[in-house]
Amino acid sequence: MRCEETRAAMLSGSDVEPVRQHLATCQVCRSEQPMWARLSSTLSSHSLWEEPSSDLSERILQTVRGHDERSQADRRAQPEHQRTALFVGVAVTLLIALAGTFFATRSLSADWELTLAASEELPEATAVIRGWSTSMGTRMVLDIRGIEDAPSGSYYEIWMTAPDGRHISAGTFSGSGRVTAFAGVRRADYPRIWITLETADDDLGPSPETYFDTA
Amino acid sequence: MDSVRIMKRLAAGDSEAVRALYQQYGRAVFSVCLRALGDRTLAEDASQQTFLQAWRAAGTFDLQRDPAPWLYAIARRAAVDVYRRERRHRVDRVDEPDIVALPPSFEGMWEAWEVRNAVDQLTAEERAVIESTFFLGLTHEETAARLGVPVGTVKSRAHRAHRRLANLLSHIREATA
Repeated sequence: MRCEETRAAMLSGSDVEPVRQHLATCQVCRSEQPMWARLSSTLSSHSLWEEPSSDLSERILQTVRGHDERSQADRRAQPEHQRTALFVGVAVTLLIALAGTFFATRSLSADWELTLAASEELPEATAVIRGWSTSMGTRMVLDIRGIEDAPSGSYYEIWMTAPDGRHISAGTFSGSGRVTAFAGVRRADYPRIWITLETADDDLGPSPETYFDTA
Repeated sequence: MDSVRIMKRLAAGDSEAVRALYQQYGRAVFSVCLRALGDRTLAEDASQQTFLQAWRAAGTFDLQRDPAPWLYAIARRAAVDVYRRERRHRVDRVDEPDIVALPPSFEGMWEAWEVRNAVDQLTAEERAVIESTFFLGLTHEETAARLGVPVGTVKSRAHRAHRRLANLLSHIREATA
């Protein structure tokens, strides 16, 4: 019996003499035995064979179209507000330029830099924070990578926590990218920085869903 | 329609391409979500989120790549989100740890994804034999009676299906080596 046939036999769960003989002499196939047994067990699992509802495809399509129509409506509405948007754009650009000048003259490099540890479910996610101490509190620029966009109705929230457990929100964001945050406290007093996923509800405290935390 | 064409249309914002993507991967997405969540309604909810997220993120997808692992990652994320959402409604927050551990049903999701995709590549006749023998636990004789074909046909289809499946799943050997 050849390796290829033995693999098929192991997947089928067959334990006939030729398979045993081959396994006795082939270390490669022997080492694969647990994997094929696992796959064979997966083939028997209920979840593998259960079919989704026949209308699931249509429901998905309707959801997608609903989102598509909303985004197209947003795009159509844009020209009506173009002038306002242009004005706001110029104002924002000026503001950014002024803020940039302010920070460039004040402090070019961060006062501290920190890499947060991602939760186990996000092995590829990273969050690097550069922080500045200002007279009004702590300014932070976060580079977040490897997380999905927050689901509809949810958002990510940045928290700073004091050793006695008091915490303060430093801002929210919706997904991977660069985020600027500010909290009216000193980092020295609130050393723990962590990020949770929150839902838009009446509960203003941090949820238990921590995505990043001070290592 | 091949995967590249589907992804191109998806990236162009064509909502109809979602239907084609669902035809190709819908069962696999539902299957892994059901395995992880253990509930049909939640699995369909996670499947819906998966395709919506895929449609939204298609613009950033690299067309040189195979969409299957990309879609799997989105499906897993969607299942995790649904699991956490449900858990939050069930459990008292005071006792919650900061980092929520996922239950064992989330283990082996990737292999389940690969197995379901491999099964989807079998012919309908081969798939019926595999379903009969693995899922329903029928013998070759019982399968022959169920499908209305001779026992010899069942045996040859089963043999062919096992070889094809072993071949389609052989890449897992390298991944787990």
